[in-house]
Amino acid sequence: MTGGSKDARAAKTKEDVLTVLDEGQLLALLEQARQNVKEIAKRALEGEVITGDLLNMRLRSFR
Amino acid sequence: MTLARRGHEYPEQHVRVYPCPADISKLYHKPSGPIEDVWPSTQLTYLGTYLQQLGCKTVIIEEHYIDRDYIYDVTLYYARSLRAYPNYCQRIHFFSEAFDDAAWRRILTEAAAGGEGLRAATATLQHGYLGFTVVRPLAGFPIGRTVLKTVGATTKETWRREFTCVRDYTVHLAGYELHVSGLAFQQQDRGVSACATTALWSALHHVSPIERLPAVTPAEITEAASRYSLNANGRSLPSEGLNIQQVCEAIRAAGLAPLVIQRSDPVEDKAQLLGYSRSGFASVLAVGPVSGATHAVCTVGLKVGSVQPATNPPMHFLDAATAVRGLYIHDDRLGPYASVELFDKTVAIEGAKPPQPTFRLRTGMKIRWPDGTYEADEWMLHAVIVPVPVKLRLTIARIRSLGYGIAEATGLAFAGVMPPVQLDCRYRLATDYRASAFGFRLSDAGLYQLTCETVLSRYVGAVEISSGGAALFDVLLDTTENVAHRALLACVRREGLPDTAIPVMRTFAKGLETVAIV
Repeated sequence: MTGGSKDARAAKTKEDVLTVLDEGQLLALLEQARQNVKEIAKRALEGEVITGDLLNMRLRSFR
Repeated sequence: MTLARRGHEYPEQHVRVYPCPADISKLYHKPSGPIEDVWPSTQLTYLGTYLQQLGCKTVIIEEHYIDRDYIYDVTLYYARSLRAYPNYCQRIHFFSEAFDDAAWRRILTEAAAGGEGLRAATATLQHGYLGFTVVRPLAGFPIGRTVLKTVGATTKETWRREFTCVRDYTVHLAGYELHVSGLAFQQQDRGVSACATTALWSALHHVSPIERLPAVTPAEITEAASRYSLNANGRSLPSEGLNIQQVCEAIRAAGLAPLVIQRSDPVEDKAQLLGYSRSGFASVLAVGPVSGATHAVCTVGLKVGSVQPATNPPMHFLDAATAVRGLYIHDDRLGPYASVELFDKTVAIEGAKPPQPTFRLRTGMKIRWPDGTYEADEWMLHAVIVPVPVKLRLTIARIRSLGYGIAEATGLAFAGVMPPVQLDCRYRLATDYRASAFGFRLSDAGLYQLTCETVLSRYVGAVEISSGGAALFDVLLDTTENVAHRALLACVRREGLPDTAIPVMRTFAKGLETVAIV
C-alpha cells in the first residue's frame, strides 16, 4: 500500500498529494505507524517502573 | 536592684540604600569559629556573580523583615536552642539603576504627592527592580527566600532559554508595591531543611498557587516527610536529608500527588523534563554520581536548541525532546537558576555479559559553578519527582506512547509534501487551551464545538503535531484517565494545517475513535 502511495506522491503537486490517499489507505497508514513505533512506545514507559531501591534513595547535599 | 529588661522593646526598622558592592559577601557577617567549608561560601559567591550578570548597581536593605518560612523554622526548631535566635530577618532588594539615599528620599517625596506621583515613583523603582533575598540570622546559612529575575532569552550558544516554572511575586517595600518574576530559592540550613526540602519547597512554590493551595514552609515539609518514616538516624531534626518516599509523603501532605519517574534513556529523560517543565510543573531531580550519595535540585527552566533528526530507529517524524540541551536548576549548593548541560553518558550495565549489551546510555549532567568550571565528577540523572495536581493521572510518558503512533502516521502521510513532522507532548490548562483556540483558524462551527460543546478535563494532555514550526493539529486527552487510548477527547485542527490536509486529520481522528474539530 505505502509503496503505491509513494509513487503517486512523486507525480503529484503538494495539494494533490494530500487528497490522493483515500480513507482506507490513511487508516492502514495509522496501523502501520503503530507497528513502527511499538518498540519506542514501550521504551517511553520504562521510566514508570519504580523499584523499592529508588524510593529509598537518600537525597542529601554534599561537596 | 531590678531584673534585666527583656522582651519590652520592638526591633528597630531602617531602610538603607547602598551601591551594590563588587563582592556581595561584604554585606554578610563571616560566621564565628572555625570555617567548615570556605568563606565567602559558594552560595554567596554564586549570588554575587549572578547579580553582576543581572547588572545590579544598588541595594536597599530592610533591617527588619518577618519571613513566613523562617518564622516557622524558628517555631519548629530554633526556639528551643540555647542561642537566642531572633524571629525576624533582614531583606536585601536589588536594583539595576544607580541611585543613592538622597535620590531614594526624593522618590518618596514625589510619591507623597499621591496619584500620579506615586505611580511615577513606583514605575521608577519597578523599572530597575531585580528581586530580593531574605537574610536569615543563621550563621553560615544566611540565604533565605530569594526571588531574582531570570537572565536573557538566549545563551551564548544561541540556545533558547525557557523559564517555564517562574511566577509573579508581589513585593512590598516602604509602601511601594513591586513585582518580580522568578521562582523562590533558599539555602538549606541543615537544621530544619536539607537539599530535598528546599528543592521541593521551590517546586511547590510554582504549582501550589495555580492549584489554590497554601504555600508550605520548609518546616512543614520536613514534618510531613518524617510523619510516617524516619531518617536513617531515627530522628527528623536536625534534618539529614530525605529519601524519595519521604519527598512523596511531603507532596501528598501539600495537597498534591507525587509522580516518580525512574531515569531511562537520554531522549526519554529529556522528554519528561521537557513535558513537565513546559507544562509549568517544576520537578525535583535526584542527581549524583553513578553510585553513592544523591543530591536533590529543582528544575526552573530549559535550554532549547534545534530538534535533531530521527536516528535509531529511523522514524518519519522529529521528536521535540531532542532539542533539550540543558536545564536551569535551583541547586542549594550554588543558588538560583544554576546552569546545567545535559549529555549522553555511556555507563556499564552491572553484571551484563556479551552477547547482551554491556553498556547503555544515561543522561549525564554538568553543573556549572560560579567560576565557570564544572563539577569534578560528571553527574547523572537518577530520578524525576514531580508534584502534580491530584486529578492529573495521565503521565507524559503515556501521552508520548500514544503520540508516537500519531506522529509517525502523519509523517508517513505528509512525507515529501511538508517539512518534517514534529511531536511534542505537554499538559495545557483547559481554560488556556480554549482561550487560545481563537487563533487556530477553526471554522465557526469548529470554534463553537470546541469552546461550547466539548468537555475538557482541567488539564488536558496535548499531543501536538507540527511541521516546519507551524502547528498542524492537536490530539487532546483527558488527564483524569490513566490509560492514553481510553482518554481521547478530540482531534483539533491548528492554524498550520492546509485545508487540503483536513481529510487526513479527520481520518486519523476516525481511526483513533475520537471527534475531529475543524
